[in-house]
Amino acid sequence: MLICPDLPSKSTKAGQVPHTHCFICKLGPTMEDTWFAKENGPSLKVFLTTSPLDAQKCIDFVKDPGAGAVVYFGGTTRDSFGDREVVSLSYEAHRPMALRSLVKISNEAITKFKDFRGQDSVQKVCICHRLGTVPVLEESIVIALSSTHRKEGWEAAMYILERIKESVEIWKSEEYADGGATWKENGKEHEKVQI
Amino acid sequence: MTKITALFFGPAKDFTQGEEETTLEFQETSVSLDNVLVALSHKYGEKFAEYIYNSCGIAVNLEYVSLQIDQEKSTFLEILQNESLKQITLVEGDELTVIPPVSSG
Repeated sequence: MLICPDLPSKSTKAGQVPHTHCFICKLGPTMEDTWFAKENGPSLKVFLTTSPLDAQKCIDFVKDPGAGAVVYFGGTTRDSFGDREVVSLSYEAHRPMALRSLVKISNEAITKFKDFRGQDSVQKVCICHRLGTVPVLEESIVIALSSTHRKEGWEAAMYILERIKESVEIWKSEEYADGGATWKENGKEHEKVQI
Repeated sequence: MTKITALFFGPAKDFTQGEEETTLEFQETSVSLDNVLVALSHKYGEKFAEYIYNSCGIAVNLEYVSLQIDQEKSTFLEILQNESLKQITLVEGDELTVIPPVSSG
């Protein structure tokens, strides 16, 4: 079975093929612990995974001869929230809806940020979000993109992150050193929901 | 007879004792969304139905439904008056997903 080398290292590398020809990626769904968007292609790589995120791989994916800028954002688990010590974050997702939303946001950014001649400035986009437990210092999300010019690159990366935080169907639970945990809500302090 | 699946994520599971999925059965051949909320309230409490209506998105077969909501916070009885809920119909095999406010990124 021919699969692309981007899949987790545990996979059999029966052959080296691009994503678009990879049997597993074409199916869209689960391969062990990673789920790829079926819309992935040479300029777009969107996936969810329980494995640690590889920022360099994302950066390497988006580099392009036509791009003068590569912009990267990594969201990492912080060790505190207010006065409580955080030991880890846990993420769960509605995977099909989350992948679809991430692809939609990527395409929005590609369409929205044009250069001074009105041409698309964003060349390639890679977004990966981790699921499961993410210890302090590790990334829960990586956004990488390349753009013709730096201005649109910065703006597109910020746009993508803010849109992700508004709408992508992923939920985070914060786990504390004192043993408690709370579900978080973007944009507001979220106390445990009153039942 | 209509059998549908309801899926719960994130803080919604605080209302369902951690259950991620449930099956709801109705005698009729189709069911309106207000009656689905009533069924969920029977199973998990009226506060859950209020939470869904006031705070969450609702997707049917992966597509968000559009509701006409006139006030910020409605009680369970007020929810049942909402006409737009009655106009959304689910049939056998449909999947309803409760989408709480997200914390992605």
